[in-house]
Amino acid sequence: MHIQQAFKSGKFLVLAEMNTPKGVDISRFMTDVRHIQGRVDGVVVPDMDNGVMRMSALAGAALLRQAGIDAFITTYGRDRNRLAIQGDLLAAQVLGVTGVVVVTGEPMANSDHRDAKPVNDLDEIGILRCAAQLKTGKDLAGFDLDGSPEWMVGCTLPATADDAALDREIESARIKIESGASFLITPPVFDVDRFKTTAPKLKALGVPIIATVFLIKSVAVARYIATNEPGAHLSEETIARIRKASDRELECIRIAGETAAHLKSVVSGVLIQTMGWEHRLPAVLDAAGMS
Amino acid sequence: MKSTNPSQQHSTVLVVGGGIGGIRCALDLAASGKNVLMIDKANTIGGLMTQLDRTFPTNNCDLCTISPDVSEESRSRHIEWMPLTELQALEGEAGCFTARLATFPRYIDTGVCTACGECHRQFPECVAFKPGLDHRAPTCMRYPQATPQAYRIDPSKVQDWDALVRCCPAGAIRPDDTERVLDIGVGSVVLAMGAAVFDPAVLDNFSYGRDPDVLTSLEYERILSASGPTGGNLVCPSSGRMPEKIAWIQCVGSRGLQKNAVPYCSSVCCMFALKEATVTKERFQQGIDTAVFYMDIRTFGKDYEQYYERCRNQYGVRFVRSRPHSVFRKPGEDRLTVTYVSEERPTMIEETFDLVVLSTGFHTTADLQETAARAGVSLNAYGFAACPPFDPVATSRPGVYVCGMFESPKDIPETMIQASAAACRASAHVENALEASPDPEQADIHETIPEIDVTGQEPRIGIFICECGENIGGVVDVADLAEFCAQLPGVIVARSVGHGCSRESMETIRASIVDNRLNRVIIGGCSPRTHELRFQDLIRKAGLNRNLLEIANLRDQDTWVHYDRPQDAKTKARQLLWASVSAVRKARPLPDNRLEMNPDVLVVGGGVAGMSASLRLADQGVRVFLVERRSMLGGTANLVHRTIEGDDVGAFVRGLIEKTLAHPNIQVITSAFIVDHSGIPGLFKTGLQVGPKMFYRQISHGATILATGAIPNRPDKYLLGRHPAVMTQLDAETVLVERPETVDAWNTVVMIQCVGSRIPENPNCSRICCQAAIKNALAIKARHPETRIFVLYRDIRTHGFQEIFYQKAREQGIVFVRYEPEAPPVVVADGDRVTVTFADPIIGRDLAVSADALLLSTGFAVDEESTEDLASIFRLPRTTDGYFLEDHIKLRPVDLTVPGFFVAGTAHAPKSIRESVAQAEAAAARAMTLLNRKTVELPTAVAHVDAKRCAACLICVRVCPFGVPFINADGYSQIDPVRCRGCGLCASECPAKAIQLMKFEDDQILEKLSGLLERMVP
Repeated sequence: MHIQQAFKSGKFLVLAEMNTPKGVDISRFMTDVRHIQGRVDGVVVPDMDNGVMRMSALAGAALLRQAGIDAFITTYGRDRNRLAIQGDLLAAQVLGVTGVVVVTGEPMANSDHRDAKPVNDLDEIGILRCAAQLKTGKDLAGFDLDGSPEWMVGCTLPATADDAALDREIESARIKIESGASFLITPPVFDVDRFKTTAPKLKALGVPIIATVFLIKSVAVARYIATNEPGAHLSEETIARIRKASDRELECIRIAGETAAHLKSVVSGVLIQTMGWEHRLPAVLDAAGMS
Repeated sequence: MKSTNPSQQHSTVLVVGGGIGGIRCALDLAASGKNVLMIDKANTIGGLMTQLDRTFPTNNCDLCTISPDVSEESRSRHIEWMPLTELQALEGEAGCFTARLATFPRYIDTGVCTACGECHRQFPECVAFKPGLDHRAPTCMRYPQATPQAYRIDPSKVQDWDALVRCCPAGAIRPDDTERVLDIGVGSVVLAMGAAVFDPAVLDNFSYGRDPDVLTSLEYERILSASGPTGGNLVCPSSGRMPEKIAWIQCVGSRGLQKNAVPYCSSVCCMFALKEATVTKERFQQGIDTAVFYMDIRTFGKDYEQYYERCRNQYGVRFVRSRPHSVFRKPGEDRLTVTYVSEERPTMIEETFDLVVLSTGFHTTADLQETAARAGVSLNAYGFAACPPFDPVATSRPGVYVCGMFESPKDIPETMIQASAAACRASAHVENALEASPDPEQADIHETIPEIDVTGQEPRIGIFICECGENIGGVVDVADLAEFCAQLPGVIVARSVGHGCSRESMETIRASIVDNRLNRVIIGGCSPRTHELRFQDLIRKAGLNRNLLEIANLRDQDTWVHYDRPQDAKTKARQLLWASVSAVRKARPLPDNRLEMNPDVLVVGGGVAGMSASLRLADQGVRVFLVERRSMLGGTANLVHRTIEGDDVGAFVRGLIEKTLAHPNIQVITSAFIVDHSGIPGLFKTGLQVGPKMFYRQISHGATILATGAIPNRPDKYLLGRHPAVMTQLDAETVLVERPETVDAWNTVVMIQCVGSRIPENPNCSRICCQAAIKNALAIKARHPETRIFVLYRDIRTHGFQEIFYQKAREQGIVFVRYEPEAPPVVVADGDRVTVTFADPIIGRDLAVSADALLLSTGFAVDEESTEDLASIFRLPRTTDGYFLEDHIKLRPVDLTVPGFFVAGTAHAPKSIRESVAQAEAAAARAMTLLNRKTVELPTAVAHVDAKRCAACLICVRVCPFGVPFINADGYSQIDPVRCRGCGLCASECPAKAIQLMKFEDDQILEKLSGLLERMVP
């Protein structure tokens, strides 16, 4: 896997997030894939983390592999028990998808299937340990596997309101890493200078750090993040900058691009989240000066 | 008249009253697939509004806008209606009523009558009526587009029935016509019976009824109207000369001022007078002196305050704060004398005027009360329908609803809102009509009238020119225009058609198209905005494709703007018609294209309005996505505890939230933000991001309701936020409810009104603050009667029944002191108290009051950041003060300018909770009318790419503001006709000329231009 070498070589990694379609028409997905071909080191495909039913991540990741792009799927315990998780991880391996990011699934309240029953058999640590166990050639119940998988598993750091909370999350990240995670994805970074001050704490964890770059799409979204996520440090200047712009969408793309470019000197890589606006990924990469 | 299908008996809604409220309600019901039976005691439908001349704020002649709705032609198959009919009894219960209806004889068979007017000419005493000063006349053709186009005979005046019968060429007169009584099953009832105008003849001090130059405001309206008794000429009834000085006297018959006056405020008379004064100056002579005598100017409606400002500053209408003592004519004088006392001078002033207009209020009548009793609904203390506090169109009887003036005196937009709300509520009791085709006239056309293929035919053009009353005919000679047009190439028919939109003229045009085998049609008339669809339907009925029509807007673009230069107007009218002839020659038929509609609704905003709209829709089986940016529902109403009437707002809001969250058809999405939007009405797609992680999700929906609200204003004024004794009325309400003992220490309380409202930065009135102040003042008095309360105000605007609380407050010794915006009160901190200094106009000097609490009436403001954001994503225009701009401020107060978008609550303008609920229900009704169409008619004027010419240069991809064009797999630009808005930018930018905008193709535009620029033949 190219990306594993890339991690080892210390090259700055550019990852993008791409959602699968809600339905079976993959033409838009494939068009978006084509437009970033050769421009990113890998793509993370979320798997209904938000509770909105769509094509499962595995199929999306397999399509990406066919297009020659390294792909990660996200996995979590809300929708699957330990059998389903293990089965899907093995299936992914066979389809060439060897990247996994363990995340938490959102509560069902804002889902489009409000009555769906959550499973929550394994938590994040449980899934990380499970993936590590499979790697050793045994399943969670201790039975032997016919051929053992080879994969790269990452974990995430949740958003935090203050330094104390951040320290607690770093501690739990340490456990995740001990449980088998080999890289860490941060919450969205809006203020790179401030992030530079917390980055050493993260680097001390000893794994590559991937910073999330979040494409703001409207003033209201920016305002919400600024108000509700003080730890995100989204500044009034940024909001004012978007409000003043004659083309707000373009300004938002520029902001995301600039953030990604600034992070080059701070972390091992970035994950660009456009959240439904995958067709704007090339523009963000352009704005970041990333070929 | 269509017979009622007995199997659908209880699937009909009975609408009592055919004024604009009843009409709006019936149209909404019919459009959402319900059967409607509308009855009215009068001869024709239309009610009060059809007697008005022009309406504010644009001073347009709104008869032109509403007449298409009222006219026979637009009657849907679902609406049956019976004039001269009254409700005699209503038995049964909601969903299963039996209504007894009595129809009075007309002595004319409307099915046969052609409204030729022969009987009227020969026997004017039996039939005659020119809609005149006497608006109460029993027989009338109220206006030329009246429905039905039939006269009525007054039998008491007929001496020779035989002669009368013989005079009718159509044989429509029926001397033996009798009263008929009919029992009919209906599912629900809407009472839209209006109110009566106060008759000032009972007052002995204003000379009304004794002097012809003293008029009511409605009579003055008839004098201004082109279809009125003076043909639109402003003259004094006594002498026939043009008046130089006109006075308006406000509150005649309202606010308990005179004998027999009602105690409440009639709400509309201020705007009525303002409009009449400005129209007088605008249309006749700027030099006419107009004076308005008033107590408080109550311009509390949307943008009304700005109208008031224009009235004062731009038109120079004089405002005199005084209640005139009397109006009389001194013997031998030309002019009337008005005596009054002004604030400036305490002595009696005498001033003379040519005309005095009494702004008469509205009240109920014995007749209305009688009908209400027959319908089994209770009335309030003032004889209007009694409605539950948060259920504005419900009555005491389930299944019977109310709208318009019969609920309380109100203006046109509020009537329209309640009418749609009543339609929403009434429709819940009835099933959809069996033949569910929502637009039956359309269905008829498509099924039964084949479209004639005109390709390859030489143009055979018909030109029909409207006089539009005085609007066009009064400025240019229409017959002369027709003569001119007849000489233009390809023109087969050119003629004038009076009011082209009247039933008779429409039929004339249709017949002319068929008889002369016309294949292109031009209407020289009014705006395509209001009438294009109707004329398109008309030519389609004559077998022509809708796109073979051209409208020359002679009225808006010529005779209105050049009314004072008839010769130039004539030249321009010719040029406009010539351009249309050239353009229509190149018109091509375009096919209709339909898709299935998405039946879901997106509601943005989870306050009272958003929840109410969602619940009404969800109850009718519509799936609703309710998107709220906060983490909880309830909005601003969460901050209000009680209404001025004492009703528990908290309990109401909690109940709404509970019902909304539990409803299986409503999906509530909180902490959610709109980030993108595309599509056309019926097929929208909106992207959301949902907190905390800002996940993206797309919602497909057919209609959108914006209920995003406004926020409580907190201006940095009078030490607000900087001194503990200073608070807003909302803050004070919380104190009163949660810590009432605080009030015991308040010996002196000062309130300042209009803080942050009616100022240049926020020019409009916030509508709710006067009653909020009085509500709190009364609550403070109730808790601690010794408290001295001063309310510093500019105008007290307790409109409608709120006026009673204003009276009560004065009775309780609350002191109301007026201040001028130029000399506002001054507030200085003084320990834990504040000193408020203000000028007292009565004693004529400054007063300083040391107050324990200073309550600021801060009203509403728009949350600029978020509304601006939404407006740019949805591409919706806003007013200067940031509220969403509706499609028509009077007649379409719920529809936004982008089709498929509706507005409810304070996102539209400041309003009370009750008013927000009404608008929410109205928005639900309007959305239902759209969704009931089931299919989406794709626009025909869309951009089309010629693949052979396209060089895939990407210019169209970049220039399209809606992101529609893309380069397809075959390597050329493709434009999805469903998403194309037809703006034409790509067509104009395409360097290879590969893109054409259908209906506006290059050859069509060039041809039209060459017609426009053709040298005029002298």
